[in-house]
Amino acid sequence: MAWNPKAATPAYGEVPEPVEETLTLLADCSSQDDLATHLQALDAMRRYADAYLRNREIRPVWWHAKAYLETGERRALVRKIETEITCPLATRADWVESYRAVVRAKVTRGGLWERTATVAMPAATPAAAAAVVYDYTASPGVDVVGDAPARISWLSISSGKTYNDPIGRLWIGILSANDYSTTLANFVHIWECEDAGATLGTNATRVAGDGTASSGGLVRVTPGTATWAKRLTINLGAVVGSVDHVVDNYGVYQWLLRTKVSAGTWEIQFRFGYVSMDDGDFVQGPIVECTGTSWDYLEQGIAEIPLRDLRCIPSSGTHELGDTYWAIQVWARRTDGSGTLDLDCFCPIPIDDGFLKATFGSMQGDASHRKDWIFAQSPGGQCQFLVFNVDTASTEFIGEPDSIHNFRLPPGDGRLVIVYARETSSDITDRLDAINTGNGGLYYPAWYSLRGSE
Amino acid sequence: MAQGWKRSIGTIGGYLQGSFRLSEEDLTVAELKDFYASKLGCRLEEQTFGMVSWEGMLYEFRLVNAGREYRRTLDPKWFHNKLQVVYSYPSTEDTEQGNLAYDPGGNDAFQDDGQDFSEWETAALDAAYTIAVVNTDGTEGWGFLGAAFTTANANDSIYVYTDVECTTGGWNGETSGKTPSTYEVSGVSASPTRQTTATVENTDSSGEYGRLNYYVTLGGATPEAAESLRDQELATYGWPRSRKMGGGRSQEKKGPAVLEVSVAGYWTTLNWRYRTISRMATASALISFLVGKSEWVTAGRIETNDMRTKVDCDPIPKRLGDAIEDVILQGDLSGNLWQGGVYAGRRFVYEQAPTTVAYYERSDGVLVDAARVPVIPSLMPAGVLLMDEGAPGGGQPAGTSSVWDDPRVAYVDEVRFAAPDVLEYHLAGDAPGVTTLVRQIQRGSRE
Repeated sequence: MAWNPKAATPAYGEVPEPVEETLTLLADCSSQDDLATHLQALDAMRRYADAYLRNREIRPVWWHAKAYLETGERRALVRKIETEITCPLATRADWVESYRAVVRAKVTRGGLWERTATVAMPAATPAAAAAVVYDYTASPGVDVVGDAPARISWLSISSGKTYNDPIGRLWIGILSANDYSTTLANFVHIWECEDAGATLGTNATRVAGDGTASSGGLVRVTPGTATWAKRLTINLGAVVGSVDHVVDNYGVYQWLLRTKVSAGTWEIQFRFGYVSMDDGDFVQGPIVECTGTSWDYLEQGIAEIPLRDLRCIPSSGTHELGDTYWAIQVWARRTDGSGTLDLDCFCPIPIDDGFLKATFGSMQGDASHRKDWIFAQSPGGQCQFLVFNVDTASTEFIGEPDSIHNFRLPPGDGRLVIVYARETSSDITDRLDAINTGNGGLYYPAWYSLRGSE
Repeated sequence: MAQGWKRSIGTIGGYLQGSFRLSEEDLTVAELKDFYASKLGCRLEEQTFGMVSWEGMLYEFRLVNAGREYRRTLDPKWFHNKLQVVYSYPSTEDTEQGNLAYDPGGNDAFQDDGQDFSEWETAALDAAYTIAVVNTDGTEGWGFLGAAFTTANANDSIYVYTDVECTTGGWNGETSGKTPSTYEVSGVSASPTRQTTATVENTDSSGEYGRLNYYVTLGGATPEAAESLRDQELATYGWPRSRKMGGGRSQEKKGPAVLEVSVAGYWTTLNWRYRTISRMATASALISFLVGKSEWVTAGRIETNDMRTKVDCDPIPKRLGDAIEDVILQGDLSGNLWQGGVYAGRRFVYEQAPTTVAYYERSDGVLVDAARVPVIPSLMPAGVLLMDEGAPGGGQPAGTSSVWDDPRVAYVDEVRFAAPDVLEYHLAGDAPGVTTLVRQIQRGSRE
């Protein structure tokens, strides 16, 4: 009879809080039994909504809606229904005899409206690399529609048949276009330590022709000074193609370092600042211990490009030039043994638009077995993944991400930045068979308010 | 599913305590009970963008269901699986030397043909010594010593009385038909000395939950009484059993079932072990040594501190964590503050407190790092220097350039984080009872 839809309040980096809608319904039935049937159906929905949230093997209750004459239908997850039922007439005798009932309902629904049909993400076959970038908007060539981050219903990453590498860990960050970063192709997802623009520090030398390293090169810190010393500095300007590309690298990143030692123990610390700053003014990341003699990724902390509040000092041509001097210093000391420390590359994983890290048993396949790592996110926000042998239709591992933060696709152009590794090491020749092939990727565009136009 | 997650980090201890709540609103009662029954001692890890930002063990459960309250805990007061009893008792004067026999010559007496009892005889007045005999079947007899006499060898026998006044000859306990196996003579009124029973351990329990050492301290007690208490104690507290609280009184059911979970950082487990021998070494060597005695914690980054330090563990045994804290608090030869605790991977970190400011509280109350980027609340460490940019400044006091003397700078000695985005920190040097917590609420990392 009456309903004025409400809109959720956006909160950056979060799914909005559930919304309470109130509406009045008239059950205008043909008999008392008919009325009872309708009211029982309503009560069943009330029970289903509660049971679904408790993971009781019940399908969700959706609220489907479409504004009159608009083209797109939307739906929102119903979390709770509270009702008050009255008779349209006045007296008890009327209620007993009536075929009609007025239902005043308070419905708590998910904060977002989503499209009723999924959008498919394109398939891709990335080459072997320390990190890969997957363009989920490349085909069919449209950006993510909607005005709120879209729920990833299904994301699959495959190993097996062609490249049977025992992948066991994934770091995935979401990189999206915004007012500053508009050309995502300019994002540099691998910073080679041996880059010609890098400045070597104490006891550090470039080593070329190493097939186990990304791009075949690395920086080796030899056992000289065992105490804390600056071993390497790389600034943003050394890795981007031009000053214009600086803004396309703005964002907050988890910095992974691909590294190893020949023996003993080293401690490594990333420090973030600008080239001309005093070393003591650099922001210090965590001290991370390295004892592995095989290549592996270490999480060296979180830092933002640029290191200033863009609300206060927005980007401009002058400041973009200044941002080319945004730099990472690698400090390291040897605490045990006499081995060398090898520094291969940095991989920045964007975290401000979405981040996921997963550890699982190996998904190594073979010529006749493809294995998919499949991530899924429920309408209620629960996330889980499994490793699935496609050819035997068997599940080999089920788990929740080690760490997940707002892993939804922002509206507009975007990429997934993916670093993968074996369970305890990284082999640079490892590669993924495919992303979103077979068990293809799907997402649901989302909106804050109920309007159907796209 | 877990509600109300919060935890703390301290400059002494590292990851300290945390808690969260599970409720019937999210899980069934059966699931809550299963969690209560099976997850105590499990490891919990908080991750922030893939990095471990806190870890600990599920330490105590409080289950409230249908008006009843139950608890399980790893608190050593309620759970210990390896223990000794420390008690006061005169030292043993002597033990068996030769062949033993009850009642030689038909007297109420005791014979050891390799012994000379004249040293402990009492010819008149109250007995000065007592004898306790263990028989071959494990039973015991005991009494007070009177005059010595000769059966086979000089003074190899001695009269025994049931009372200290030596008025009634005979034995306490069981001697009739028994064969003596061992005995000990000890003084009745001699000054007692500190005694320790042998250790007992429930190895099944320690295998499952780790070894929790415990000392029960008694005043005056006999060895057998101390051992009896020790065995009772192990039987009662050898497992982290479920205990019904409130004396079994049921209350009216109110609200959904709730399981409150307390989590403890692994520093707690350092105090599950005791050290009984004092030791002197450089501070960092002593820290490494003590950490090496732990079951759960390993040495991580132990910075060098050459100051000579000592932990005093005799006569009172000292818990490892307490001993380590003593060493940390002693600082170094230059009067610098040091800090230490257990962090990710159950690794112990020991280092000098910082000498440079790494964090700033802006005048609008937002906490930022040195680059003025807002901190991610769950990644904020304790043991850092914080400059309050809104504080009444003044200048650096004359004669010092130490940042510690800057009136705007304070040392953050504890950080508390409550999910999803509430951060509180406590500044050192504040008087107890004065609320000095500053709260920062952030949305993501962008406020």
